[in-house]
Amino acid sequence: MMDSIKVLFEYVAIFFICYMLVYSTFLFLSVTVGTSVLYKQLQRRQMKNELQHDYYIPISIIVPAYNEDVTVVDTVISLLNSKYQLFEIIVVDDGSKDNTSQALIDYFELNPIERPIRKLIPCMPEEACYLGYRDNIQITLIRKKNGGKADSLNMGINASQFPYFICMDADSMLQDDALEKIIQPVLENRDVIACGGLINIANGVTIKNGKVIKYKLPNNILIIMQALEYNRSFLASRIFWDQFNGNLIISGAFGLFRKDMVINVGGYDHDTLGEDMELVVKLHSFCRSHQIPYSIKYEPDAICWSQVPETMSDLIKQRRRWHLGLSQSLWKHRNLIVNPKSGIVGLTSYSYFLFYELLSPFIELFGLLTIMLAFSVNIINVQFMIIFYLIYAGFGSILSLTAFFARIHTQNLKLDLIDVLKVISLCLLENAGLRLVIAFVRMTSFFRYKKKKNHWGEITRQKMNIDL
Amino acid sequence: MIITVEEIVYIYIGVCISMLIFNVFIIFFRKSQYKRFKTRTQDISKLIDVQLEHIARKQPIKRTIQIKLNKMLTAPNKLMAFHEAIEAALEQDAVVVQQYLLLSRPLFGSLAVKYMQKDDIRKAYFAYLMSRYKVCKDIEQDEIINSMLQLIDTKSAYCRENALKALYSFGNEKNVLSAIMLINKNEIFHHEKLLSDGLLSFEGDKARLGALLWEHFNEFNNDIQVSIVKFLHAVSDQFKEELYSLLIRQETNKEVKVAIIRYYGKYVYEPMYHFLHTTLTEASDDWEIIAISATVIRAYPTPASIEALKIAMHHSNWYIRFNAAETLNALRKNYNELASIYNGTDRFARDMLLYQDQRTRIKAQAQQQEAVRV
Repeated sequence: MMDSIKVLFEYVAIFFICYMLVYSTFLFLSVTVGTSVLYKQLQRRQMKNELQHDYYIPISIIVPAYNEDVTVVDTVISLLNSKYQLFEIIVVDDGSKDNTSQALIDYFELNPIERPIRKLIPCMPEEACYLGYRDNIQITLIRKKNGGKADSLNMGINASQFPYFICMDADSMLQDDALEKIIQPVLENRDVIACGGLINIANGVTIKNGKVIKYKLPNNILIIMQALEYNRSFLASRIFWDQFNGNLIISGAFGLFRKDMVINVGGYDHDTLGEDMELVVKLHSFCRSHQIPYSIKYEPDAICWSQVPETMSDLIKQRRRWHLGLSQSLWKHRNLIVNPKSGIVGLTSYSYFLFYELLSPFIELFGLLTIMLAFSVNIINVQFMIIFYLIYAGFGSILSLTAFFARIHTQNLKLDLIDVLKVISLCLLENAGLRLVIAFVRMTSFFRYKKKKNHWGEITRQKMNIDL
Repeated sequence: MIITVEEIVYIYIGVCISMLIFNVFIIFFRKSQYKRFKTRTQDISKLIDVQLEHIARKQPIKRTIQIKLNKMLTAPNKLMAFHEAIEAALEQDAVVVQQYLLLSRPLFGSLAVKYMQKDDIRKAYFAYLMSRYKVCKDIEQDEIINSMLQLIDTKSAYCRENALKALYSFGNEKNVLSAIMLINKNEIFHHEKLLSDGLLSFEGDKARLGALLWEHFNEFNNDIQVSIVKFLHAVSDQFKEELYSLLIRQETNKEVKVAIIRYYGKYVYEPMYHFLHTTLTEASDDWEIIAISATVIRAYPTPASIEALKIAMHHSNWYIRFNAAETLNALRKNYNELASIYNGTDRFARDMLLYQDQRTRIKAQAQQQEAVRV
């Protein structure tokens, strides 16, 4: 009996060593590649390797909003501060219960208008349309029946005039050069059909005329830990996947898309919680199966400042949504992993997201149970286990710090000593604490699937530090 | 097995230590780099100031300083410091500094050869400086121009773009033509928008450039042809007949045709009236051509144009109705002229016309308010 348990543990150990080895190699590669790309981008900027023109390609900016009266006006102001000269703004109010529409109508003096909207992709009907102009930029507000974020984005696409559109959240602010940066991949390569921007955490940041004038980490430790996590898991890994057209996610907070391609794939999916990921996976799948040359890019110089949850309950809600969205997207496009046409996307990106994002909470739980079982039969070296865990957590923490400081340096942001100390002291807690909490949230997210279907991820919004 | 795990642990520790060293190194390196850059800029400024004083006193510049700069500026960091120093000097006395830059053409010629050996980022930076300094103004052939032409055929869009900018700033149309010929011959993708906007920044005789590009028009691919037509649209009314003959040719590419039709929105040409009228009233599958015609016909305001637009208002294509309604609102003199649509049975046409009418009013109102605010 004991012998067979030992054999079992031997195999479990081999599995976990391989699993963690692949993950830590990925983490190391993504931070190394991500950091070097960021420094190279900095060098490019310093050496004027830019495609700067007065007029670029016209863009429609779609801002879906639901109960966003605290932030939506600031978001539109931040867009109007952009250096870019050729764009329109379309705010889609998804039947908000607060004063989202009224806040916009009052501030921008919008007028009611009878607007015909061509429904190329399905969405809920509009209830009212408003139109106004600021500095010759057209601002459209469409108030529609509640249908969720994907539905609002589809309405925005239907109402947009231009061949490229940007989706962004109503609680986000774009840097003044974000639009001209996000369009650059399109100017460089005719096959670019979508491009994601870099999402930075806005909590605690003061922005004036589209420029960061004060970068201060807040006292809330949850936000600081999220900042570390964003740089390690999102910034670095997306730069890494970008090297071989393998990005499966463009954040809903800021992304550019070629409209005709999005319409070809049927727009955003109403039935998925992670509509942003689902769209990108769908674009990969569509282009690969139809053998259309395409590229989905990530542009870390195009910066969007977005608010993150400030309380644990909001963070849990957000992560639950993300994980359900991930599972729905992967399940819906499961053909990617078996279809030989899927190439690198199926082989690496899809497999990574399946084994290291979707299934990781279960694998981690299995690991914990195994440890407990091994402990109960006294075949575990506790001292070695603790050392191994600490070294592994230290490894993750140092990679988080590397990615974080690389971003700070390359974006010319200044941190004071207190902020540096805050980051250093919290990186271990993030790796050894928050990650476990999030893993647990992700694992339990499936139990609330029915209840949360098709709702907006509601988190408490704060007024942004935007200097008008 | 245990040995393997321990080895893995050691690898992790090694990686952690190297990463820590890397982070600390970067912090100190960046700090020292900034200080060194300031010192270098000051040193180079002193050298430049000596040369500027000579020029101000109408004396020849010192050869020894130029030789010293030639050696120094081979290093990209020092070239950046030189750029910083020149930008500061330009703010003081732009005329003298420009004279100095022109006199430094042999220096830049020698640097051009060296920078062409470096990587794409540095090549692009050198090209950027040439576009700023315009040292080859009105010169047809030299080492710098050859280097810029060499950069056209690189993979890097930044190299190509900066080299093109340099050639535009030098103002010689033959060199610009050579660059575009290269893009065409080697089937290089350079976005049509970058090309058309770039051509507009040409600092020589734009009419002569237009004529030269037109001479070779048929040799270019469709993307480049579109850019050239857009350039002609902005600079010259001398191509009405030529472009018209191209427009009515059946084999002309659709995108090129759309660009040509736009040209006649700015420069009125009598035969186009018939073309636009026929396009709007006769059945065709080319909705893009009809849609752009519905916009351009605004420059041909006759009762017949309004009638043609009214027919277009009933087209099944959304864009055609959108453009036709916008133009009708701009051209109509009173409500009665459009009463047949407002009171008609085509809801799509009516809704679109109503929308464009309200939109025009809101825009005008906003512009008035903007003017008051200003």
